Amino acid sequence: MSFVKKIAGAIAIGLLVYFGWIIAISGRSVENADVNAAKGIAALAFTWVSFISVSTGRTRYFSYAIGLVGVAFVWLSFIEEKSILEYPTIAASAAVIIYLIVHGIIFEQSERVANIAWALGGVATFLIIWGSISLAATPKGVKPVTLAFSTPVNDSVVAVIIDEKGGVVTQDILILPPKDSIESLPKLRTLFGSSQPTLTAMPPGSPPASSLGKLFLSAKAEYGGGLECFEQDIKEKNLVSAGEAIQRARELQITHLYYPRSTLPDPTRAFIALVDLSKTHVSSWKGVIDSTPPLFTSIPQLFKTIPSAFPDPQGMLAPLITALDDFQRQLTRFNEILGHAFASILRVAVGFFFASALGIPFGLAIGSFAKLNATVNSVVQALRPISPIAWLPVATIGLGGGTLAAFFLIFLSSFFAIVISAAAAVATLDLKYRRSAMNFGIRRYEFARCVLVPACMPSILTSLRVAVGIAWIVIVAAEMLGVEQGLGYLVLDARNQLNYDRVVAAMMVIGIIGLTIDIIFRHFEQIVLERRGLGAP
Amino acid sequence: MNYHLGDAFATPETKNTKRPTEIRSKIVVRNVQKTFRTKKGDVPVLENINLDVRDREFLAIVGPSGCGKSTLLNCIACFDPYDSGAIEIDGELIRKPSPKRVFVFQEPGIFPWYSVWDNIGFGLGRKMPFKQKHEIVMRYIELVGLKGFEKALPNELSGGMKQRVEFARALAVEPDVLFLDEPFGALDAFTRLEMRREIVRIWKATGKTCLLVTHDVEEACELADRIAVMTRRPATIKEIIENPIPRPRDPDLKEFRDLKDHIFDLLGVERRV
Ligand SMILES: Nc1ncnc2c1ncn2[C@@H]1O[C@H](COP(=O)(O)OP(=O)(O)OP(=O)(O)O)[C@@H](O)[C@H]1O
Ligand SMILES: [Mg+2]
Repeated sequence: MSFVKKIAGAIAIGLLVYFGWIIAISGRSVENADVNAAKGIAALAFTWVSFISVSTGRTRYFSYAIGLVGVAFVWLSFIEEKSILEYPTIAASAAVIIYLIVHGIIFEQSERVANIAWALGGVATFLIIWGSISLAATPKGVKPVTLAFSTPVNDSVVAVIIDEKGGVVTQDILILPPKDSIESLPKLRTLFGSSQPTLTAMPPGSPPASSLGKLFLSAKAEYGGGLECFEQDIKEKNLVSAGEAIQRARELQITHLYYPRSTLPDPTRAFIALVDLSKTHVSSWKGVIDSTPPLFTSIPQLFKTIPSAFPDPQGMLAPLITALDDFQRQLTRFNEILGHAFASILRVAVGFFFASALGIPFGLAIGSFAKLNATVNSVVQALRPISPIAWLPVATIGLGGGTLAAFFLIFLSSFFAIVISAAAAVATLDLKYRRSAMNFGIRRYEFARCVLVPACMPSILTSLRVAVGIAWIVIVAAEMLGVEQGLGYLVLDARNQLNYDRVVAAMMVIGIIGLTIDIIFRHFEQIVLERRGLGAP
Repeated sequence: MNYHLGDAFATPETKNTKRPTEIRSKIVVRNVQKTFRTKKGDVPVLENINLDVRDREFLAIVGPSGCGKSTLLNCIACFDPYDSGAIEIDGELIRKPSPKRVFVFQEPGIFPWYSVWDNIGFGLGRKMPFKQKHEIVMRYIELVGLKGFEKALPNELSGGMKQRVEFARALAVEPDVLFLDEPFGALDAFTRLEMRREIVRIWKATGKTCLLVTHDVEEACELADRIAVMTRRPATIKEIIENPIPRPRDPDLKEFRDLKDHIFDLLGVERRV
């Protein structure tokens, strides 16, 4: 039963966040911008008060009263607003009420759920605030519509304005301009009317050089940057009629148009992009398997290259990196998001492994030996504040970018944090432990093993968790140069393709993996500390 | 560690006093001085401390808070350097801490990451064969009444049990001398009482020399054969009082109360509230 409750609660909370997001992006309705902003703020206040009353669990009846206010709010918005754009607001309010009821009645006792609700309520609030602010900041008067042309017939085309929902606003027949004059421009202007198009879909056979193109360019000159030309490959160009141009324009609008461009992404479409990214192309599974062996055969090769007195890291790791990159490329082909995520995780794992393997002993040594501390401390302190991002050019030039550079940046991002907290842990080692060890005549090595390391364990583990968090932040930046897989690459690539949904999908994956890493490290920390008798009682 | 033994050790008097003490004294403290040098100025803490501790004796040091009791004990245990004077144990100038003289801390200094067993076995070293080690550890676990808790970690134990583990760890290395710096300070009244009984029992059973630092006059009277009273900072030993009361001691006896009164008088403290 409690499991069902949890699921129900999760769904209710999820709905709340989802609709909070929807409220945030509902600013696309420019006409009602102020109304929407007001509603967003009202919804925000309502949500927030509800959270406080319900999550603290003390003011149960107060929260029901707030719930009634919410019902009234929904009802009012329902009768007042004719616009379909208002539905998200209604839905969001409804979600809040569902949440209130589910949480207020069933979950009042569960602290953890209440905490999650707090966190997600915070997210929803943030989204609503963001939406309201960006809405207020959005330049007014630009209506996101699409202009569609039919294929030219007898020097004339049908021009259609499609609104953001794909509905035809208006259409007219335009005479295509002769060589120099553009007679149809005034007509086009009336066609636009108050609705300024931001996007123009043009069927093929009418590139900008043609007369239709000229018409388009003059319109663009008149309307400025609001107009964009997209060329579409349609094989049977003769079949393109006015109806088909509209159809094509609608499709274009779905793939290319991001109305409120200045505001938040649409969660639904981001989810769709995520699903798209997660699709498996089973045919390349074989490629993944085929490319796996090099990963392992390259390790002996790696060791073969070590014996030279001063190993060149690039040469040493080259076979491994090539194998890794190849494997990841295949994996990306098999499943896009899995491949990218795996690449990022692997890079973080390798960089972080080296950072902790070197950083912990180094930090402990710095903390233990005053002379070493005096020598090295200032260097460490000088290097530490340099953001790993600042090292990016160095990594690119010195290590040729790519995977090795990413390893290096991850290493840098976690190394200093680990060193400093290990050194600090030694410095704050309880004097009585030190004296106990001294008293029993414990030697240096044994002291390190039996007293120093266990005593410093809590702060070292905390620093590892913090460091891996930093590493996960840095990896996205590190992968923006010279690599072809990884979540950072995915973000950059999606941005370059102007694919906002994919960017958001990648962001979601980054967030989820970051959260998972943190949870894993937290558990690991807890388990180790408990086993070492240092856990919370 | 760098000790500045100064003139006191080289002077003829030092040599003279050294002779007779060799007969029965376990620990000899001669003219020890110590000043903490801080940024705000020098804090003279110990001023000419002289103390003789007999072999197998239970000696308590009492004094007002902050007078330098812990500092003195740390100097004797070789955890802190002193400025001048000399401290000898078994006729030898001490140079570094040794398992022959174990310190019991105010707040248990046992390692929270080790089980009771591992903690008690800690001082025995890693080279000792397991069987022998186990035997010793179990013996001391039994002595302090912690049988059945061998595998427990310190955070699963009560304050009194932790303190007993600390005692067992100290005793397991079979030291000649135990330094006790307010070992019961962190305990509640009941446990403290029980631990006092316990320590007397252990002390009687094992015959160690015990040097107890406390600011609890009653505790000192209950436990010690002799009580050294320290003055305020900079501290000297004001007087060393013999405690003639036979054990087990009852704090309600007149003799006991008289002894306490005498010590409070020496400390210059009005004990009636
Ligand atoms: N590391 C230090 N640096 C400077 N001054 C110190 C230092 N340690 C102790 N002192 C000073 O020396 C004095 C004696 O300290 P000590 O800890 O020996 O007192 P105590 O007699 O054990 O007191 P209590 O009964 O409260 O434990 C105190 O007044 C303290 O201010
Ligand atoms: Mg003290």
